[in-house]
Amino acid sequence: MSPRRKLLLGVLAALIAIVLLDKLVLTGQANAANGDGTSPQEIYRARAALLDRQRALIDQRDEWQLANSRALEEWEALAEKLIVAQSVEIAEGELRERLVTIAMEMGLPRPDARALTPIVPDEASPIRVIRYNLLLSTENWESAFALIDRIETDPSTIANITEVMLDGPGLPQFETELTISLTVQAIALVESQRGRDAS
Amino acid sequence: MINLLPFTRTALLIEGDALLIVSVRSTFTGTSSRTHERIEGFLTEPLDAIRAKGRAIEKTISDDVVLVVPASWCASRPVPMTTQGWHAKREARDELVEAYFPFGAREAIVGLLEFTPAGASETQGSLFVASSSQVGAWRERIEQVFSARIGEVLPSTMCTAGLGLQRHERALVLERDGRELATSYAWGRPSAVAEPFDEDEARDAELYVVGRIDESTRGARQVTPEQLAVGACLLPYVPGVRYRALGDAGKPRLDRRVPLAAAVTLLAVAGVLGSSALSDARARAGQERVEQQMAAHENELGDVQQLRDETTRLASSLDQIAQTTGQWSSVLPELEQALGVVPLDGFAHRIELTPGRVTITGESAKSLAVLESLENTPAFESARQTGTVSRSPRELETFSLQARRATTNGGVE
Repeated sequence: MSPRRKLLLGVLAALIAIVLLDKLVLTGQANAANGDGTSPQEIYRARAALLDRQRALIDQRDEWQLANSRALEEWEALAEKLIVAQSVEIAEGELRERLVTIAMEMGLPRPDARALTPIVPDEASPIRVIRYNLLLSTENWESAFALIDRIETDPSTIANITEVMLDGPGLPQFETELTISLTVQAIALVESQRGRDAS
Repeated sequence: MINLLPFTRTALLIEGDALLIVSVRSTFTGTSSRTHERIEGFLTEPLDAIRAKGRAIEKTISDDVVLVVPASWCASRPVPMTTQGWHAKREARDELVEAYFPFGAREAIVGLLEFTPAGASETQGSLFVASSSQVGAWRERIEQVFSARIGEVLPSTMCTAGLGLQRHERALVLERDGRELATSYAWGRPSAVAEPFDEDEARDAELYVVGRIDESTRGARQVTPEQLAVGACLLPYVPGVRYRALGDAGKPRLDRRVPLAAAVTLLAVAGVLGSSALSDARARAGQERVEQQMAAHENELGDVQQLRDETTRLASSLDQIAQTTGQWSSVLPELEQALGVVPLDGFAHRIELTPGRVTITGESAKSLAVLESLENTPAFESARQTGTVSRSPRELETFSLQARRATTNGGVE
């Protein structure tokens, strides 16, 4: 190998070493000084991308305003029918009160009520499906049907009856004492005071 | 010739009692030479007269000055020696000089031409020896006339390597300066140095003559003193040739390629580091601008973000309620259908409607008819007896039926 070739190869090797030193050591140290090991170029690109997203969001202000108005309108109409409480237990109590009131208003005896395990569609959401089992006696089946209809169409609650048990001899041919068992579920909005303060 | 950095070199060529001054300048675009002066009687004329001539061209002389001495001043001999470790071979050189040259070791100044003939792998060396007093007289006079100091003293034979004979497969350079010495080249690389001239050998080669051309060298090409001076300037850049100038006995001469390579490397390093630093600085400046713009719309962004978050939260809650209540429906129609399967002459004792099934217990004249009626009810399917059919006190058939609900109304089984 000629001396000139050796020399050029030496220069090439030195350049490669310097580039590697710069990229692997010096740049790494400089990036480490940034705290999380990212280079200034990477930080700049990330911040510029964030700025673009922020500008895009600001440009969408009118669309979000419109969507917010519609959602609020829909929510306000629905919120009247929700059982709003600070805890599931309080919401269950509220539902029980409403059901008992309905039965009493219909001239039925005060029902026994037993809370069932609520359904949680999403832990992060304040929406809960609370459930109650009502047990009462009546003298005729029409009263049972009327009670079911009244609960399902109650304008102050979004409620639904999932289970019905009618127990009595000779129903419906004879007027006699019937035992009625109803499983009622309703939508509740459970927002703890602590959670609201935090938000 | 590959040259990475520009240079300017001045050759002072001794021709009889005259001094020829030629400069070679190499740039990225090419190489050019210029003959400045030929000062006759340089050693014999009065110093003042020579100084007057020298002063006129002094500014054109570069810092890199080489003195070319005639071939007749030097004796040469092939030696098994290379330029590597030259300064450490002083004793070996002295022994060679004492043994083979007509100069005492103390009087001699010694140089070496190391070359690798074309196609060969091993290098060869040719030792050149000249009288230090003979060269010293010229060196002293030159330094009296010009402020420049002589960097190298080269025998003209060495300088023939810089004539640019690469285009000839074989070339022979004959130097006629009292003696006839021939140096052979193959593709521009020396193959034999300062050998006695052989006319037969010259027939197969392109012949160049330094000195007069006569009958025996008819057809040869003349090498002018100017060309020889240019060859001296270009000698460091000839491929396959390394050398030590006459008298270069001390520290090894720094190879001209070393500072060249160092400069190139430094430039490259500066380029790499500079570009990296510049890129970092631009990124930081850009980031600063971005941060300023972010700060400028911070409040506006906060409002929109709040609006978006609230809307998203509302929409999510609405969506969740819609999904949950989507399957909710009244239980009354199914309850009525369940009661309807019991005929008027029968009795229903118990009706149980769960999210998945219906159970009816009672008595009727024909329990099978009740089962068929339940099966034919659209709200139910897969009806079956679940208990024993027996006779009741009313002489009716007791039944306990169960069927699946065709649809559910959102409850939990």
